[in-house]
Amino acid sequence: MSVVFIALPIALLLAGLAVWGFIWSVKQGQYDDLETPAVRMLQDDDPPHNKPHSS
Amino acid sequence: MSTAQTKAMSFSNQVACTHCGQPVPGHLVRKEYDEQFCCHGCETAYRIVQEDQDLFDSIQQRRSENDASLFSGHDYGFLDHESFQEANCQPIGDGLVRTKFLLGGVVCASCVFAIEKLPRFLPGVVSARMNLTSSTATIDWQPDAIALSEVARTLDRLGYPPHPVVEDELEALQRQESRRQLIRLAVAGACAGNTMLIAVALYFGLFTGMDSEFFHLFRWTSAGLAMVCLVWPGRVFFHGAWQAVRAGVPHMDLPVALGLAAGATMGFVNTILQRGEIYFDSLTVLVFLLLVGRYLQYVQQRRAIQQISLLRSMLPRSVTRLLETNVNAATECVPLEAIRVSDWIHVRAGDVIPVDGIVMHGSSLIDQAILTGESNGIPTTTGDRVLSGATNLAGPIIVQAQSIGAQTRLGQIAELVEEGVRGKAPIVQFANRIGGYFVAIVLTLAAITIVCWAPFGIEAAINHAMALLIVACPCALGLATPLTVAIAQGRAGAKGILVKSGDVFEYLARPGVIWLDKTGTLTEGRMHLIEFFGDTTVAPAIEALERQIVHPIAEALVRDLAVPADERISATRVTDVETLPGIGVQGWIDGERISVGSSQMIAEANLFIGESLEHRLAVLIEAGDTAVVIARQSEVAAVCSLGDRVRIDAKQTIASLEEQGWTVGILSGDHQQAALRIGQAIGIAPQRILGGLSPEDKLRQIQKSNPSQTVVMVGDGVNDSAALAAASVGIAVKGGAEVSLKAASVYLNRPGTLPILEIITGSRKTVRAIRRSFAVSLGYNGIAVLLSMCGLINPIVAAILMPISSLSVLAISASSGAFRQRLTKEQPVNLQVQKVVS
Repeated sequence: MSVVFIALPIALLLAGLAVWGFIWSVKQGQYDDLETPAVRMLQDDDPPHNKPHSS
Repeated sequence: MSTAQTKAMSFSNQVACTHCGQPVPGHLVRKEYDEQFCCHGCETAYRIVQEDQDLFDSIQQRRSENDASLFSGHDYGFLDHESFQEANCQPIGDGLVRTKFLLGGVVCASCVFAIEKLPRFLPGVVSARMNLTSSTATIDWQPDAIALSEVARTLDRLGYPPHPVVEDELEALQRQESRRQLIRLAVAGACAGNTMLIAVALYFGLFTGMDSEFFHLFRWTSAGLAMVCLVWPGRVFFHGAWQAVRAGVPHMDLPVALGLAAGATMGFVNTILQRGEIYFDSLTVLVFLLLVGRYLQYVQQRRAIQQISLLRSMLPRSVTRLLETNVNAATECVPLEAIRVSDWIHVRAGDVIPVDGIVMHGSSLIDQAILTGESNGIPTTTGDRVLSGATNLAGPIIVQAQSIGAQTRLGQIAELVEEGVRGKAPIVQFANRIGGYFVAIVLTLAAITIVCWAPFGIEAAINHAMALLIVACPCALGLATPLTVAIAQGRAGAKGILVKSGDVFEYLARPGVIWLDKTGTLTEGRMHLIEFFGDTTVAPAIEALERQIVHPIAEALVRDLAVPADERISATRVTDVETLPGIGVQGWIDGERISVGSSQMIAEANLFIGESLEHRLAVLIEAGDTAVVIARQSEVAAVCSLGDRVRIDAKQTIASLEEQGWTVGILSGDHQQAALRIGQAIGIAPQRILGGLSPEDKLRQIQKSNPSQTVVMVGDGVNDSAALAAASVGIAVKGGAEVSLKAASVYLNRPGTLPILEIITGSRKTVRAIRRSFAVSLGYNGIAVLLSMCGLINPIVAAILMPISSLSVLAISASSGAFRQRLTKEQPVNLQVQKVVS
């Protein structure tokens, strides 16, 4: 019995996990729009609240 | 400054400045606020950066001041109407409602920024998400806190006129399809990659030797991966082949399915019997590559269709309805769907008439070019019938709706479009025809192989035949068409030629018959000043007077007289402007009466006209254009003619088309005389100039033509749409009507007729590139088949031949010159008056 008998199924399992992750992300709609997220990162975060403390 | 101050101050506490991060002096700390500043400079800088509210306001203000054209100024009141909200707003819980808008004018990151910041300025809007690819914004809002019309108006003021979109079933289906294709691609890719890794181990094992336990482990694993690949993503090929067999038409999927089936059978049998070759690496890569080609084509196609549907949605959907059937009744803005028969509708000048009906009040000029092809506006007054889709050019009118939706003339034409589509015979693509022959030849060769090798034992014969079927599998052949078409579509799209389907290129590659619409296609579709005789010093006065009114003639005169800014007469000096319905307009400028109108005005206003001008006027009327008389006080000072102008590039386009072997003709809805005049001016033979055609006539003319010949229809109007749908290739030109965009398979998003030449040349190059790829890949397949017939093929040879042939196809597709460079240099367009004779 060689380590290959363990390594090969593990390798396939990992590949399967990656495919599953991809399918999940496609179903989430993450590939529906490939342009907007790329420009969204140029936006500033929301500034801290400009209001008096509630305390 | 902040440094100096902080140095001087003692650090009584350790509050950091929100802007620069330095300690804030004690007396400046404001305990009740989150933000702390060490100085005014920091505070000002911080406010400039952070106070989007001001920025936002100033953008709005600048837009509405300087860029009136961007600001459509629609009243979005109809969005608040019940019937609209029921159909377009989707409740998502928590008292929130989701609405999707298609936005015009969204181009870049800043637009996304401006739109997604909406929730900060509009209380009641919870979130705004922009999708750049489809130009849609998804807005979640609280109906209790804000009206939808307010959201729409804000978007409009920002320069993004919103159009409500209903996600119809088709769109949802398309999105599903796109996702499914991606998933298939991923699974096929993963299977192919892993099978190849295992194959590498197996190939090394061939040379260096390998324990049989590992050998079989690897083979069984490959078999498992190939199984997954064939039954999940690979299923599409078997499905396609089965459909082709059932329908009895050749298809590229046939040889692919045959090769896959042969390879899989042989591979599995050999795996189980623990002998011979397995071809799983080649098979899985084949499936993956073919899916990549298809996916690319699908993406390009979808992009073109999306861009076209964006253009289509840019049409008005709201209607101003009178609350009572009374001319002076109050009005409300409602969605088009809410209109019922016998409602009274207010149509502003410049608006599209939404229903078929009768004019109840007011008089105007109606442009029906889009429905009939007639280039001149039709004077319309109380009691006249107007058709939906026509444009109200001059004054406001009130229309009583007689038929709505599908019952209107527009609706009937839309039905005619369906008829046109049904009557259209689909083209069997070159690739699919080849695919048919291919299967026949390969099967024959396989049979010959069996017969020839039979004397050496039946097992060897079957092995060789199977090897032949596998290596003959036309991977490159299947890749060539989608890949080349996808590249051509992408490049054409970047040049403003949107191609909806791939078979367009094949149709346009060979010359056939091309029918062109006249108004709006060969001509510019709007009034132009053609000739001007008489006193030119009156021009500034005419310009000032015509600026006061809304009328196509007035617009043409203002545009084409092109009075320099320093000679212009200010509007305040123009007084007592009075329109004389059906005749013209008059007004006073500095105590002088200026009147502009038809020749009828001479008799009506008792004007004096000089002999030479009278002669000129007679000539102009004879020529068939609209003649206009200009009078100062009670004497005619000038006469001019206005008409539709032939596009500058039309003549050149027609000439090159005929040079390339196309038969060019005109199908016009305008009068035969008008069609003849334009057609002959650009060099079209009179027997192929057909005028006075109804939409049905145009459709019949297209259907009458020889089915084996390519028939191209180029048009823009509703009246062309049935013909556009029935033609082998329908080309809609810029500014086309909604129905024509839907019916045509190509949309030219650039004015002029030169893009027609471009797509024809591009198609020829595309088809040539496809054939080149075919020749190359058939060459490879031929070699492989020969080798296998001689029994010389082994998996290594197959594994090397296949990627080489695919790579050469890739290289050929990418290097095809289709839509690469401009056909001709763009000519400067002369916008000045062509001839001004004094």
